[in-house]
Amino acid sequence: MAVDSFRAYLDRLADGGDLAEFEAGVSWDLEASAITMLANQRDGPIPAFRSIAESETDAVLVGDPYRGSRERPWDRIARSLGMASDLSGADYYAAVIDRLSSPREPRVVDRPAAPCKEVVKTGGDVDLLSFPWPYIHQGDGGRYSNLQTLVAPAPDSEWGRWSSHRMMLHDETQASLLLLAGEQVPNLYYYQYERRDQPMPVAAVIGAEPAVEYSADMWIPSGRSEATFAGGLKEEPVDLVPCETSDLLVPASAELVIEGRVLPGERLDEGPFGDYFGYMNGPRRSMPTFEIDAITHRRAPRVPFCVEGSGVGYDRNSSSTLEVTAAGPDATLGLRAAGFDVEFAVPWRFTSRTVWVIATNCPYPGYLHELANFIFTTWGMLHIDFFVFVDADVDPFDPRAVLTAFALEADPDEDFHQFGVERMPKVPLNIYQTPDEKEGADVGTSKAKTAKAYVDATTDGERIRRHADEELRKRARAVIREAGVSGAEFGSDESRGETE
Amino acid sequence: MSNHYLTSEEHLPEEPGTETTLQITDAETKRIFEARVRIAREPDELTDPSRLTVVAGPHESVRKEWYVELLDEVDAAGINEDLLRRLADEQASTSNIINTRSNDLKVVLRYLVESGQYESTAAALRKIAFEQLATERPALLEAYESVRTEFESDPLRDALSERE
Repeated sequence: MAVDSFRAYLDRLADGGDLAEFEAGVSWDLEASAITMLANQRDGPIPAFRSIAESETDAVLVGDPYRGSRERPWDRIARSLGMASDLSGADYYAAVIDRLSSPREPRVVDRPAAPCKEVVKTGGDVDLLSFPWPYIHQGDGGRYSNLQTLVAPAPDSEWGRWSSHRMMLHDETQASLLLLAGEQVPNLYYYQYERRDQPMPVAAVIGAEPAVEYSADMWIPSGRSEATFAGGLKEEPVDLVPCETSDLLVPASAELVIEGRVLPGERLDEGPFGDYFGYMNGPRRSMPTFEIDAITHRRAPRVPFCVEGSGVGYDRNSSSTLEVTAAGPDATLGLRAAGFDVEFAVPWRFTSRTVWVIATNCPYPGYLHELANFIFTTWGMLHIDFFVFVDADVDPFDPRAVLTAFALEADPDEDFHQFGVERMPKVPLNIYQTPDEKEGADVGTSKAKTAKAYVDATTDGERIRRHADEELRKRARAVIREAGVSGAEFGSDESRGETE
Repeated sequence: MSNHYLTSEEHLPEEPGTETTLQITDAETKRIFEARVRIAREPDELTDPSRLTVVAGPHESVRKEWYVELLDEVDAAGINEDLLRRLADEQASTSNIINTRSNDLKVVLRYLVESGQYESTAAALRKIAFEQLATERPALLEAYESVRTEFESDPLRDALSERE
């Protein structure tokens, strides 16, 4: 059974020995993030800091709660959804896709029944800085909430639109929101609300139940609702409750909800920030102003955060894990629904969002180009730089299998394709372009352009046979297994659960 | 409030030493706010200096040490711009005479006029009051200046006024 709150998820982590609770005082100022980064690097348990120094509330900071384990990044996510804990990557994707195929409408509950309303503060009682928001990297422009779900209006859904946008805290009632045009909620703000000179009501939900967090990291097309897919993921409706100061509905079990308005025509500094590319990323940008009208929360709210930047080169934080475990299955389902003969679309977990591996059949000439064009002009527009296409029977979760296909099948003369030379939009957070090349960084509607690329590492005919005869390999494995070595040592075939 | 602040080089005024509104970050709490300040490269150029780290470069990785003197925190001054707008709006259709009763003030003002320092008691009062406000309440004057600019450039308001 899926957990129905963030704190229930933490309990499940604790039951599995995956939570390290710190009772001693820890500072929000770099110390909590430094400890979290160390845990991330060492593949250790998830740290929860129960006593934050110089905090006015009894909030608990939780560092990278969704980080997966090094070898099996989907395990903790699978457990939170009540799935078996020994699934292969392929089986995990199949299970998530199965649940996403059966969305469930959410349920609206009354305010007294909503845990997120245990404490309600409005008007002059609102004080953002009474919570221990972490200062994550030396050189950041401010303290951040960067593992949160932003609830915004949706013209085509009564349940609103959920997505992930970090915010930098300024003072008691204001924060800047990273809204990059090209994404759904930012487009709604820049091209509808702001053009009408209207404030856009939003709510930042911190510590939402896991299914909500996962669905907010998915690309749900217009006309559909993240809330219904979250219900599908947990196989139960998600409970929603009305906001205090707007008509928006927010997940009732959330730890902390910050209600307010994104003001038209007003900007605040955002950044620099130690971004997911692994570098301190500046300069500071001008981003929309989030004016806070109300804060509601559970008692002793659990406040999750992500140490961005510690995931590059490794699968080592919440955002890189959520890419693999939430965005990947969703993209796979979406590509199949669009008619592509895709086995799996999986973010290459060592590069966060910039490289994806797609295991696919190639039914006709020009198919891969068509597939790349579809993604680069829809959900992959801003963040993805290139794809590696491999055969449908290559395991995209197995780095060795992917690199083998890359080395053996990708002909540098024929199989490396540049796409849309210097015409494709690119997220201005990238580190390889200068501010001048990005044509200014002062607005969310960045003009940054770059090329995209894909590598065709599929076979053009007969697969090159491995050196060892398959029967001989099987016999060797049997002998080794008899000697007491587990099947996991054998590599890709076994890691997909295909042991004989 | 600490005695160490940060700001970005792009926010600095062109001339150090002049009074300006500057966005600064409290180095201890990381609270970001705007304040009326004077800044200088050397501490002895200011009356009550605090450290000001100025970050620069494309990723703000270059740090330079300056000094800052806080005169008036814009936000903490509690300027209610809505109230200012209402008053400015009302002022458009009411008398601009300010009344006050004080024998002492009248004597002092008349002295300033009759000794040739001002042309009239009204001119003396205007000049002295604005100078005092500029020194003591710069944020209020700055906010009012911005509200007044809004009023002067509001085509909708102009159109409605013409209809009336």
